[in-house]
Amino acid sequence: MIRLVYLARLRDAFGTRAEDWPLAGSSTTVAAVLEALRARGGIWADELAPGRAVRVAVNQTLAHDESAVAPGDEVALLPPVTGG
Amino acid sequence: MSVLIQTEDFDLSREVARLRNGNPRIGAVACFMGLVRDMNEDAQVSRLTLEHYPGMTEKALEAIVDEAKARWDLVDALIVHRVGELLPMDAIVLVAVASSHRGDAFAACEFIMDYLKTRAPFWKKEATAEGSRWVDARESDDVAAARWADGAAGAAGKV
Repeated sequence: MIRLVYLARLRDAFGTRAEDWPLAGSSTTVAAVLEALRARGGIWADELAPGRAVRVAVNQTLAHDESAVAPGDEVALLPPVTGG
Repeated sequence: MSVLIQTEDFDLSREVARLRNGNPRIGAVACFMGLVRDMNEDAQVSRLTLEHYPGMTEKALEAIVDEAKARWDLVDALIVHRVGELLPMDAIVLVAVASSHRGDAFAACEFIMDYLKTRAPFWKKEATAEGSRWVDARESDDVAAARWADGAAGAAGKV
């Protein structure tokens, strides 16, 4: 199981703040998690379409497509940041 | 070094005094304050809501300060970033950098703000007469941050 967290605009778009996601196998990658979410279709496919500026953090650290995701990890989807 | 995420306002003099901490080696303090404007992209802004990602925000800001300390000769640096509901003219962010000489302080202060704008997980939502909307990221912020990439022309690193 991993914890998926959606921030800011993505939380509004998906209509949920967080969810638990069953993990098939002992580990996966950020790219595979995004692909699985895209497969839900609709708003998920739109917001996470390749080329959209969504960044991913694994355990509160910015990650890349190839970054590993293991059971118990928190995987957050971040729209482009606008602080300061 | 300190990184503070808070809903309440901050006092510039008090924060600078805390940063200086009676250290006579400090010869320069550069400060940047970011404020809420009443206008953005031709719309009147009545309120701003600032959201962040607790847990990651602190780590991201500390990493930015660490990087600034690696690039310039700094005594210390401070970031205060407010979250929650803000009104036009409210202060949003304070970056204060202390060093022996002004060159390092000015450059590191600008670097920290440029990186904060593109790497720290904060998001602004504006309330306008037409409703509320998430603020779009600006390409100019990416350009500003890219100036500091290793070896990029224009970056004022100590290398």
